[in-house]
Amino acid sequence: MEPIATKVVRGVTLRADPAREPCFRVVQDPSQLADYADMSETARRQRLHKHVHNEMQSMEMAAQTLADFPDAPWELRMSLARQCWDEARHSRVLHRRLVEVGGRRGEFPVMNFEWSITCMADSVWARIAIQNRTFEGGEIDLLKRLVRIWKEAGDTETAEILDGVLADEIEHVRFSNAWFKRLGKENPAALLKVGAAVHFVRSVARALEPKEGETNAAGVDLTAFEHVEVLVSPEDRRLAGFSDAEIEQAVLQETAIVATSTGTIR
Amino acid sequence: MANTYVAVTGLEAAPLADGGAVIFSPKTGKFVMLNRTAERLWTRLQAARTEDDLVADLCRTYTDAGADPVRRDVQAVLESLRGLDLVRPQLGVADGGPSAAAQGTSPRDGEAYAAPAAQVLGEEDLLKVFQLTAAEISVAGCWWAGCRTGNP
Repeated sequence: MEPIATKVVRGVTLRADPAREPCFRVVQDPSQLADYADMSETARRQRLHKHVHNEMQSMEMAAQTLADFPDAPWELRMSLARQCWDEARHSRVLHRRLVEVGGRRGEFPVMNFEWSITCMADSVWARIAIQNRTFEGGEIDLLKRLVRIWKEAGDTETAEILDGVLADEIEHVRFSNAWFKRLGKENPAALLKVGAAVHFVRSVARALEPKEGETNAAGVDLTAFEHVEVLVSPEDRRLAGFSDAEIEQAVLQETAIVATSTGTIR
Repeated sequence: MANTYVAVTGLEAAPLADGGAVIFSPKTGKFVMLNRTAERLWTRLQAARTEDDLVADLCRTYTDAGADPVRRDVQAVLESLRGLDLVRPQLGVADGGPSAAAQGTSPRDGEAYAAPAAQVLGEEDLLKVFQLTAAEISVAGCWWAGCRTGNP
C-alpha cells in the first residue's frame, strides 16, 4: 500500500479527507455538525443530507480498498466493485429525495467519520472488518430503526428508500462475514486483523465522544441527545451471516452500554 | 533458583474491549483469550520474570488481593500458558523489575482482583468477541442520523 495522507482529530491519527466539491463544508468533529434530534422539516433535510454523504463515503471506501489492495482475491474485489455501484446508487436515490423535500447538497456540514477510520487500515481484511462487518453491520440495525422513524413521521417514501438500502447493506455485510469464515480456515492469523480493527474503531469513537454539556452547530446538547437504544436486529443480522452466538453477544454488548450509560443512551 | 518464565516469541495479539487480549500462536494454530489480569501478566512476561515478580506485581496492583491466593492463581495460569505453548520456563535470572513500557492493562478505578484466566477460542468464538455495535459507535455522535427525539 502507498503511504497515505493523515490528519489528527482529538489526538487520534486518521486518514485525510477525500476530495469534496466546493459546495460541501467538511468538519472534523461531531460538535461542528448540525445534527438535529427531531423530525422537523429542517431536521428531515439534514438527515437525508447525512445519508447522501454517508453513501458517498461508503462508495469511496470500497473504491479506495480496491485501489489500495490490487492483490486481494478476485472474488472479493468483484464484491467490492458491486458494492461501489450499490453505494453510488443509494447516494443518487437519496439525493433525489433530498431535492424533492427542498434540500440541496452542501446545506449542512459533513464529516468523513467512516472514511477516516476505515481507510487507515493497512490490510484488506481490516478494511472489510471495519467498513462491512462493523459499520455496515451497525447500519443494518440502524436502518431498521430509521425505516420505522420515517414511517412514524409520515414520510413513507423516504422509509421505502431506506428499506431498499437496507437490503443491499445486508448483502455487503454478508459477503464480508463469508470471507471471515473462509479466512478462519485458510489464514486464521489474519482473523486477528478483525480484532485490531474493531479496537481501533472503538478507540476513535471514544475519543470523539462529546463532553458533558457540549453542543453542536445546531445548538443541540450532544450529551442530552437520544443517540441509541437497544436495537440489534436479529433477523437482519442472521441474513447478513452473523451466527446466533455473535448476535447474542451483540445484544449483550448493547445491554451493557445501556446499563452503564448516564442518560445519553436510552 | 526461583522459577523464571518468558513469553514465547512469534505470537500475535489483538486487544479486547474489556482490557484483555486474544493471542494467536502460529505454531499451534490456537487463539487464546486472556482476561485483564492474565493480559497484565502476559505483558510483563515479554521480559523474563520470576513467579515472585509476577505475584508481587499483582499484589501491588490489586490491593484487595491476598498473596497466597494470588500465588496459586499465578501458578495455575502459568501452567496453563505453558501447556498452550505461549510461555516457557527460562534458565537463569529474570530481566529485572517492572518496566514502565511493559506494565500491561492498568486496573480501572476500584476494580477488584479477578484471577488470571486463559481460554482457548474457536473461530466462531473469536469473531464473536471482535464485535462492535451501533450503540458503541454512536457514542461519537449522531451516527447515520439514527437519533430520534429528546431535544427541542
